[in-house]
Amino acid sequence: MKYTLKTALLLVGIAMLSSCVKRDTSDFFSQVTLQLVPPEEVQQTLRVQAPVTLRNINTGQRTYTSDFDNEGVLRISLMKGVYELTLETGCKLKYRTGDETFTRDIVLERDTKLVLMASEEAVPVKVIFSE
Amino acid sequence: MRLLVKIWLCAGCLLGIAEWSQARPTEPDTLMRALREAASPTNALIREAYANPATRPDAFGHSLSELSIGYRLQTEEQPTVRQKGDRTDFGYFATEGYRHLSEKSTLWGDAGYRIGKRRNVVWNLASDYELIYPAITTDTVGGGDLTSEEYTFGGGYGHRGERFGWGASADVRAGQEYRTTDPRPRNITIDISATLGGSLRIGCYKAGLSASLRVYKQTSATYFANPIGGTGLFRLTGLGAYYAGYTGDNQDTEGDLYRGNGFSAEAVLLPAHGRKGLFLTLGYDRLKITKILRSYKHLPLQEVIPHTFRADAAWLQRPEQGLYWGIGVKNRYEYREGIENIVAESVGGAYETIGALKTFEYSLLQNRLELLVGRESPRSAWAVSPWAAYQRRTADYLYPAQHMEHAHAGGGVEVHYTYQGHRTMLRTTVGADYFASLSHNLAIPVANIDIPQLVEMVRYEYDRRSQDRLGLQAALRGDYRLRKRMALFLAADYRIDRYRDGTLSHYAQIACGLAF
Repeated sequence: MKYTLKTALLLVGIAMLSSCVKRDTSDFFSQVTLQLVPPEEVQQTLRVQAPVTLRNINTGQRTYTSDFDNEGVLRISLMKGVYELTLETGCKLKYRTGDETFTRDIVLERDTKLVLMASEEAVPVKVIFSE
Repeated sequence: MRLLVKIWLCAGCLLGIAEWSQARPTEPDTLMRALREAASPTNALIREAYANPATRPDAFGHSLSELSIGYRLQTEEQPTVRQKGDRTDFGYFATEGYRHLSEKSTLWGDAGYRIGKRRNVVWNLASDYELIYPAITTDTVGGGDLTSEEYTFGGGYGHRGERFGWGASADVRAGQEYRTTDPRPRNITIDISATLGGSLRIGCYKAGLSASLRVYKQTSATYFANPIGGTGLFRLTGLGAYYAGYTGDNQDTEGDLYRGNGFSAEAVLLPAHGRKGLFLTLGYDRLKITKILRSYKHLPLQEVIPHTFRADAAWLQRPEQGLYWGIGVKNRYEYREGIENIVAESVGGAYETIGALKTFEYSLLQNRLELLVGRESPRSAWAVSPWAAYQRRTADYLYPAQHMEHAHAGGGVEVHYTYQGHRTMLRTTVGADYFASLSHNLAIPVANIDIPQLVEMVRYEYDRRSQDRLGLQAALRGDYRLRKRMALFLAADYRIDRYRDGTLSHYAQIACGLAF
């Protein structure tokens, strides 16, 4: 009887321990670096104002960001997957060519799909002037 | 497939009839003893120990077969899971047999057919919800009654030697469900398993090992008779999340295919003779189901992998006279993974899977402690079985993080009484139980704004599972011996549950048949 109760308690304990599992989602994400690639005439990028939408093609989740630095680099953590990248209308690029400074509207050169499966990804984003 | 299953069903009936007419006769006293043995409350306590086909010949000392027809009804004022409907009513036919061919050989088999309706099924267009969850395909407007048919067939053989024993068994379940109003799902399922087992006598105990293989398949296609109908088909991934890139519509007529395969392993320890002593069972089941989109070049979209761990222990003490008693502990832990495949954009109509993420986790822990006290005499038997249980259920969609959790505890008691006359036997069981919600939690911080019905679906289930529940049940069976080797029986079961919010659910079954 004593042996049976000890066995039973051990089995219950093992079963309950199984539920104490900490969930780790670190493998889910890719650390993505988007590098804006301007047209050739741009000698130096001074400022980027470009709201970006990244839509996961499989899940439909949308991520909105506009956090480009002055050199046109944006760093973001995204869930691994396949994304469609779009720039909102009215995106602007301030740049220097020679001694002159310009501010012009920019758009994506082509439809951009990103495949983000590695833990770190660097993606060039080519833009052209809209006018 | 339907023709093949109908042939099996007929074969099962013929087997039962052949056993009845040709096998070693069951003498009247033996028939009554077989009925008493089959009805013993100790069976429920130690059932798992005899699931191994090598130990199944030890399950009963007497042979017994039954043919029955019946009707079963289950209805809920507010269903706990709306994806399974709020009412099922089935008529059924069933036959099962357990025959000792000799001191060493035992044969058993069963066959059944049921047909009826599963009513008011919403947010689910597939069958076998418990098996394929969370990889369900749903629409958000339709729903209704499904006509449901199912065939079952199984059997096995066990051989017990002086020291070694072995056995084999197989089971088949096939079914179809369909609806005749838009959206019109048509689901066909087949579920096959086969088991091999062996046992070895060690002193006054017997140790057994068994292994099983399982194959599962479901084809699920949804049609719209209205050419401009169709509200969108959503392929769910858990807790309201869905694959936005693979939303179907009324053009998606090829539907989904579920393919599964799995295995089980079990170890058992039980007394070599009789039913007194220690019973231990340890088991593990694993099944992997892949959901395939036939309209997308047979793209494997999701995987569902349930793992189940089972651990039972029981002690039965049966003196020659006087009270017998038993105690048992039963533990189940199910851990279910939901895996989403990452699919690259279609190139030339081809879809490539480039990765996978485990986005959904589900766990169900069930612990149960049972006691049993009873007494048997030639004319009557009684037993009292109190029990206590704990249950904890969690579901997580990992990113964006969503969580649902419930914990319940409860207990109950069942009282069994059997009266045996010269030609009659009357058995009755009454019971009461109460399950209380200890804790519950729901966190869905990212609301799916474009499909609010999916959020409503999750919140509804959360509210229903948070209820306390009081249950009452009663069962009655009468056997009347027509001839030396045959008895006619009539049985009825009824159960009522009342939830904290005042809603009720009912279960009723009535059956009649022959035992021989």
